[in-house]
Amino acid sequence: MSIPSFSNRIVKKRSVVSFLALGALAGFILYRLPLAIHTSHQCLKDGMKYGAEDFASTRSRYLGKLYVEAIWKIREVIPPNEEYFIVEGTDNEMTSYFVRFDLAPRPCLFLGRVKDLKRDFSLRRRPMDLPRYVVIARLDGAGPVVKDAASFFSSGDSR
Amino acid sequence: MTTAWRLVASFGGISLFLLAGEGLVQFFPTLRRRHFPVRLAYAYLLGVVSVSGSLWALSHFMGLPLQRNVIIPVILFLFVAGLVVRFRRHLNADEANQALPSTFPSSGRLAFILATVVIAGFLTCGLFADAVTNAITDFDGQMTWDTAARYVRAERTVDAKILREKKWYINHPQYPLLLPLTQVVIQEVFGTTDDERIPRLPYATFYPVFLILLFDEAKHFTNRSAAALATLTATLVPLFAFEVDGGAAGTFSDFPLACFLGFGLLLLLRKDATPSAGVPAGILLGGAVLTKNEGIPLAIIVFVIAFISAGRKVSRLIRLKRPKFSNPAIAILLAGTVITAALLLLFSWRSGIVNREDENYLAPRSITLAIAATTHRLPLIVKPIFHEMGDSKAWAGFCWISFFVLAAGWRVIRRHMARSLLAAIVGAISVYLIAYGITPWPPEVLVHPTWNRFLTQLAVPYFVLFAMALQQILRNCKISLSMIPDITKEHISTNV
Repeated sequence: MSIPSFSNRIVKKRSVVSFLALGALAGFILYRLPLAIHTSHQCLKDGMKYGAEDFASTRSRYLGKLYVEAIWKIREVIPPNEEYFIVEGTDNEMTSYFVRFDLAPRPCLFLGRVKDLKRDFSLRRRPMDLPRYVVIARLDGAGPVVKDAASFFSSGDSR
Repeated sequence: MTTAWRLVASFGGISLFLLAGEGLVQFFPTLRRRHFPVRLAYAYLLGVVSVSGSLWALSHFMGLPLQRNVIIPVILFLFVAGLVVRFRRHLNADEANQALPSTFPSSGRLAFILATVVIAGFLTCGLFADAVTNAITDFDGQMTWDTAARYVRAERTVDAKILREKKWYINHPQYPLLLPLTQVVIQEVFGTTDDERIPRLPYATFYPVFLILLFDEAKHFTNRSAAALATLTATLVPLFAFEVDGGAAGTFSDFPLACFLGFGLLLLLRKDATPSAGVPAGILLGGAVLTKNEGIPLAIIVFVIAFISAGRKVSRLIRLKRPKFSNPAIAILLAGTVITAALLLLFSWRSGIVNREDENYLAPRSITLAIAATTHRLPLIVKPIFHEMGDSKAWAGFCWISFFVLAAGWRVIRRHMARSLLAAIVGAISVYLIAYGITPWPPEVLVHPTWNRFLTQLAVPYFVLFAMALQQILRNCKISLSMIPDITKEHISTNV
């Protein structure tokens, strides 16, 4: 009985591994292909459905109608080039990022956080020549609110 | 703003960069002779870097305002300069101006390539539909990149007071502005509002650009079959197309960085690279520097690898007594010059900004302390890293399958090109691990929002290496299949 040559054995071993690798890759492609096509198809359908909506509606789908209405109201109160104070209104210290983005390009100064109705600020009174408004950043409930800075500092109103 | 105008601004915005880039492409034989889709893809990358980079420099060094009457002339200048070069080339009868010759693939391969094109095209359409329909939802975009774009646009300068003055509340004020400036360009030229759906499309465009160039470059280093298979695989990785955190669907800068870094490296590593390839490669690597913080060390690593490869080519050409042995050296010199210019721009711009709300990885630190900290923290991040790579939503198992493919085709490591790509990947991962070592964050917490995005940045060299491994595997399978008749004869003769 003849024994297969050494090089044949090596080639067979390499081939088995190669076929297995190709098989695994084929499995990935066959698994992902319908999912990717479905996702793309869904995006195209959403494009047809929402493509013509105004921007406020688009943002509402992501962050909620109450939030967007609150933002739009603040935008009407604070002119585009006027600065304002921003206060973190929740335990999530990153809420102010979203509000700041939606109110940009209005420049803002970070005051601190409101937690359990206690103010944790470095300033006790509103200094002169500083912003007229304070925005309390929230994503939940009725969304962010804008307060007059003078009354905010004098009354201790943190809500 | 009407829907029609919004769509005009979105797609017109891409055209602005294509126009400028197409003008630039005419200067470089290594690019202008490529087939049309490849040329267009390179035009987009070069256009983004050259337009945004030029405006950055003009705004910072000369104080020119970022508005339409400055932006449009910059784009037109690049486009018209390219037209003039192309016109002069046509007048010069001695110069050949033909696309690189190529052989026609067999019908089976052609069908597979066409299928890949159709699938990639369909997914691109879905991605584009999402980009022009939905708002920006990615976290980093809202925290940093897109907010910076709005402030820069409002003040019409890259030296906005919001960035420079410490009192203003902004995160990462020293983050490079290349991609935010693409948003400003489109919004200013078309006079749009801050509707977020408009600037999303330039980011999404990096996806088809990535696929087109990946196929072309992988084909250069392997063959059509392996390149098509690798490109099809890349098309189906969920993170690249549909994930907002790091993919082309978001406004993170990772995917653009991947394109600038990877294709800049490949331009320098190609065997047929002419001296002029150094300039577009330098522009792309300079774009990497101006795109993200980690672009600086990654571009330097890539440049060093290309430098070593060029040195090897030069010595081989001298040994073989070939003419034009200085070509690779000239390419590297040109690339290095452009990258240095980008670094100077970035550092000059940063020098006027007080850094705050930032991890500040680039602050001077002792190297020994950094290495010691990294070594100490490494055991903490191994498990989170593996967890991220097993994320089915981002990778759908691709990471493990690709490791298996690379292991099966490990013989490609004998090729110098494969070793260069592997060195780039290992070098980049070392940078990431050091970042985890020196971050003020707990590193195991930082892995989740960053690791997959870091891997995305290495997509180009990784997938070319993947294509090379596939070529080896396909060769093994072909050899094995061709041996079946001999093995069968041997088996029959044994049993008779």
